[in-house]
Amino acid sequence: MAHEIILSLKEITKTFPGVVANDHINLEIHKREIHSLLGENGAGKTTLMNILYGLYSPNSGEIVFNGKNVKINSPRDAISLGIGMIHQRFMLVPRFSVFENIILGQASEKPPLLEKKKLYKKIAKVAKKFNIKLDLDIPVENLSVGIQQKVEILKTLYQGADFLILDEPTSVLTPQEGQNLFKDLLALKEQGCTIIFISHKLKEVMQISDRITVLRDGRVIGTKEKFETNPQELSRLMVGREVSFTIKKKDCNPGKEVLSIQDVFMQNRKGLKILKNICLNIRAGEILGIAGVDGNGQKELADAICGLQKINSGNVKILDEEITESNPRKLYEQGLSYIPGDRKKYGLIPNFNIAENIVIKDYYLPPFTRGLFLNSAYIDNYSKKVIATYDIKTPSHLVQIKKLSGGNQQKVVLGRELSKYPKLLIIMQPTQGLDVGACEFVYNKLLEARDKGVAILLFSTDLDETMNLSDRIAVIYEGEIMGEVDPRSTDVGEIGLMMAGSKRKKANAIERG
Amino acid sequence: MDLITIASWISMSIRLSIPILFAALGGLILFKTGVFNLGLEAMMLTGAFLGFYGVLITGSPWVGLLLAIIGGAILGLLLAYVTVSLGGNQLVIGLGMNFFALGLTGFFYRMLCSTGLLTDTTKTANFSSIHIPFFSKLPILGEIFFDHNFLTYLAILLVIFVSWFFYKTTYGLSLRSVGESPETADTAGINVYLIRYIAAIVSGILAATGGAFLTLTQVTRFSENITDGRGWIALAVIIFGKYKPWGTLWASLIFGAGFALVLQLQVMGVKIPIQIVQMLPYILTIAALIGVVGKVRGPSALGKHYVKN
Repeated sequence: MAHEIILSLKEITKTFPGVVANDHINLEIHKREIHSLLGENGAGKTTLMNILYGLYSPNSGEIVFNGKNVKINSPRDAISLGIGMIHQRFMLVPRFSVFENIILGQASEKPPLLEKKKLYKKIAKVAKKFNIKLDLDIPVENLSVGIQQKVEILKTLYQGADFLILDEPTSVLTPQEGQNLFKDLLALKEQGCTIIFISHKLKEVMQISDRITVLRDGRVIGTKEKFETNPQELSRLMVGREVSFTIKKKDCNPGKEVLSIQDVFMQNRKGLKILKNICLNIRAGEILGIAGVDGNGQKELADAICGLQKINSGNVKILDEEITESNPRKLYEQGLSYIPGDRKKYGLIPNFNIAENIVIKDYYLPPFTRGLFLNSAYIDNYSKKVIATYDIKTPSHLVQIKKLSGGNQQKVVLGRELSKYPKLLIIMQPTQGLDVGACEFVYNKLLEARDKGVAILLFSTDLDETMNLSDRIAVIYEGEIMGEVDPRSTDVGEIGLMMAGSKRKKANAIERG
Repeated sequence: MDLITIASWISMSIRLSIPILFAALGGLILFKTGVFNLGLEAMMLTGAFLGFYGVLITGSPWVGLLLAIIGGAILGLLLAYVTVSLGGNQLVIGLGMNFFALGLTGFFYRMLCSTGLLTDTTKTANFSSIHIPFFSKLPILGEIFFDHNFLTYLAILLVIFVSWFFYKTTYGLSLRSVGESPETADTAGINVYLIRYIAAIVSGILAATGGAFLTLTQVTRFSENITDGRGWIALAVIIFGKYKPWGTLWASLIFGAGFALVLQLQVMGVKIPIQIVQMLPYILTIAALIGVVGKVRGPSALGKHYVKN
């Protein structure tokens, strides 16, 4: 079957200072196909698509679209060719209504007037064609992420795009929302759209694509028909070596209870309940995973345990000691380690060097200090040891944190927290933005700590990660624990339903021990 | 207080609020694109001086107004260049401009004093009140609403226009999107920098017109620091008015009423120390900033420099 080629990229090269993001990339996209770009973080997928969308200009190479050689200098050029892009971070104005977001930057028939009625009708027509149902008057900030994504798609279609680029569209969605998105995408394909789907998740790519192109280190490694390939092969192409999918995990051997959370309530300043009736406990040597869509109270719960936010009622105990009124420093000294999700904001000081970041929680204690002065000899030695143990790739311990890669930054945080042999470790999004190698390293270190008897509370929005690492999983939705499940006997679909708020009875929660 | 006193108080309130309203509207337009304009005071002062100078050398208040507009536009352009193109700190440039304008206008004014031009009393033309036929003869209401100079009416029309522009035109939508999320605006094909430049220039023009109002209406005179913090009050007015054109109008009137009350109380010889009375508008300002009007959400990208990829 001969395919009509709608787009071909020829020898596209793009360099940033010190990095070749795209290295002589050749890519052909067929009309009306769903074509996945698969690759790790930093493989150059997004850069390539930003070039196609006119956000970057390539150093060399050419773009042939619909048989014509085109120069795309701005998103406006891309849109006029019918190319639309849905970014990983939505390009929506939160305070604007759905309507305002859709028509933003679009000409009206009678400029400068914004003819609401006529434009409403026009949008409704497009929405009907692609079977998208949306209330146009609601401010976007009041919508769930899944719906916001629909707004993005409708906006792009309204602009006349029939060539859609989606950059990691599922990273912000629940599994169910992800499946809905896939349904929508297939429907769009039926209506004649061509779709480029960027992802680093093999499962999704295998589900949705017609063809798959793998990128690594800015190069095209290969393009495969979905039916000729399998996840094993794709991951080898993606990483460049064999990767084990399953994490080797010893049996869980829980000891005494380390953390106990009873009936915790928290309200924010507006009086909205952020946490409702939270009850959890973790024992030494086990990992309790909290699954949930981002923004359902995870950060607040972690902050509450670590003494960063006050709770309204309930109590939190570590090793039978009430800590509800404690503060972060005291808790750290008691053996609580916290690795926040946004490591560059809450976990590290980017302008400080590695050694300073490693001792930032201990600098005031001997042997890091001698009287009023820092003991720099000891600090140097200590940080060098951490750098070696945690395989942090850096020329020196005096390099600024911001100059390290995400993986190495995370290793610094991990090294700082775990070197102190905590009793309880709270970790959020342990592998966000990390490549496969660094992920493996983090997983191994976490399991190593668990086997040594650390109680670990894991918050992750990556459900596969939570399933693989946790000994028990509690699902959080709108600040409430929907129930607890055993990852070995539960499937993703079930947890997904709980993540979307369909409550599971407490009686069903497993009791182990 | 009798009716006549009240009528003259309201009329005076309106007159005193107009310079603030001009500056606040100018500030609002630039704020809405996400750029602070802390140089409103400088723009007003420059407008006041150039307006005065224009009358002095030509005898025409129109030339004065034109000079003020040009001066304001140049300051707006400067603000845009430093903040939008160079990414300079928006607060520091505003503060710098204020001190610069204060010194420069003071210096030129003293030079003028030494030339003897000022003693020429023949050239003191200004924008006098337009007595709207019939309406201005109405008792009480006539004095309050229909007996002002053309700049006053222009300011009110501007409020209507800006509100229409913000919320009923595609350009207004683009302008607001730049202040909320410049990345989004950029990907929607909106020229973020161009909009900020234009808004800054318009901002300068309006603030300078507000300044010119001080020297081109009623009496034609200039004195050092004639604006006396009105540019700062315009900032409070923007917040008090919740970043909305009509809100700006009401807030300006409240401040104008405060200033008018100060004058009225002095005239009436009320036995309160004058300094206490004079604090009134500034207490209002502090109240506005503390948040008497409730939680006000400014444009989300306000004060953030936008770097295009």
